[in-house]
Amino acid sequence: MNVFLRIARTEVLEQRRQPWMIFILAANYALWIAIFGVLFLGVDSVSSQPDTLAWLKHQLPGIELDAFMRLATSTFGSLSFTNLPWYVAIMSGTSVLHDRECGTMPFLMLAPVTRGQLLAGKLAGAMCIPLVLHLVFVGTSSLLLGRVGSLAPFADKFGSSPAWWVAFLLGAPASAAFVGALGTVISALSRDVRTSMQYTSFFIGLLSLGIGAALVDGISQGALVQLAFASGCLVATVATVFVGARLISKDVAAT
Amino acid sequence: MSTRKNTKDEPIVVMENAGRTFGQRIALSGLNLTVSAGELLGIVGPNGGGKSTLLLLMSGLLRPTEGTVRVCGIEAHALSLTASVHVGLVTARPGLYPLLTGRENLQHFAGLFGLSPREVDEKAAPLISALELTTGIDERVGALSTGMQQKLSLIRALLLSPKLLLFDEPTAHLDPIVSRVLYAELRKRADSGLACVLVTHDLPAAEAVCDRVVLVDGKIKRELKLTDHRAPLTGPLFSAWREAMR
Repeated sequence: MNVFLRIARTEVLEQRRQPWMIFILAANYALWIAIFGVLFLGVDSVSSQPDTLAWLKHQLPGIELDAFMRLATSTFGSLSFTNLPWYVAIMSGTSVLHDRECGTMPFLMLAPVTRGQLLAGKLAGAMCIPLVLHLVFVGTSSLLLGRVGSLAPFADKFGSSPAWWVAFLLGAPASAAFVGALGTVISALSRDVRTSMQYTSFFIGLLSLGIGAALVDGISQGALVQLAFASGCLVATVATVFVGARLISKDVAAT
Repeated sequence: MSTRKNTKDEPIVVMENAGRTFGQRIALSGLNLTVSAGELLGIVGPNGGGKSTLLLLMSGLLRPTEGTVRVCGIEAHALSLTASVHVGLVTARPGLYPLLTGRENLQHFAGLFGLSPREVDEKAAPLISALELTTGIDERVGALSTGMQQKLSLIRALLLSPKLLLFDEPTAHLDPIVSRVLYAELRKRADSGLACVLVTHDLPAAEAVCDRVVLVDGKIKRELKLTDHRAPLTGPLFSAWREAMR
């Protein structure tokens, strides 16, 4: 097996031995999907009953249902695409640092593994479980909610447009890879978990929020824009790993 | 990876005027040292004297800031990139993934050198049996005692038929019995033709198992050949230590 794949495999194997961590990540997806699901289904139910809708409009003066739904669907879409980079950032932010803490770093450095392979393997390992959760939860929820009648005007954000599919299958994973590459480099340069988590949470947390919003806003601009965004993220990922491998090359040898 | 056996007395490690500084601090300087195949070299010295730095220089994990360090004729720092000469390392911290089993750890590290899980199992089986790890090998490392973890670390070091075996205070957290097992294994490996280096604070152990001992404190202060094994704390090494540190 390729060295890069072996490092990634071991990373995933360790994560799988922490079922509570995976449960918490999955529960977070499930929670906000449930909240938005109840909201959308509730609005759909009310919309099909003119009397109730009129009563509700009377009770909530000044609130435009269309504007509210536009905001709600955008927030749902943004959350859909924010979680993947965020989770990958959390996973990657301690990946190389974990080897320092376990004392395994010198043994990795004695093996025929380049710094680039180490970072890329750690990144791939950090991405696997969040990517599966993304495909399952975001994919299922968006496709199911896309069938709700009252969401028809916003169907492009629920899997009915090619741009959404590009964002879902390429844009979000590619941006997560970029964020994860930054997290992996931070974890390699940090000397303790606190430092790593501070940098990861602050910089990458904010970056993830921006990425989620950019992806969902970009859906209206078409698949090509999404494709360009994904390509840009992949180029940035490769560049980050490349620069990161050079930044840590002297440092890691001193472990 | 080369599987050629070391020829006795063949120089495996050659250090010429080697030294290492960290910023302004000189950790080691002017080291001229050779470790031959079949030899067990002990390195002793005070805390902060540069023993571990010396070992890291030999392993290639640290690059010398002066002079050269060669292992089997290859610049030590380039060793890991060639993968042609494997250096086995055992440190005070076993350096294993706690959530993986012992077997998974071995498969991971040996796998980085291209060994398949089956090859690892085949090569590790006699070592596991010899070190009495049969019951713990499929348990998670985090659940194993430090002694068992250290045995695993030793198996990892031996799995890849190393040319050079480096031990950095391997018995720091071990009881005397497990320590004795490790030392015996180390002696056995040296007798079989491996070049071995042991960094330790345990002078009686160094006297008991090493062929030669160097006293290091920023540089090599003394070098002793030990031809016979003597009672602990009474031999020339202990006296030399006291004298050198005065």
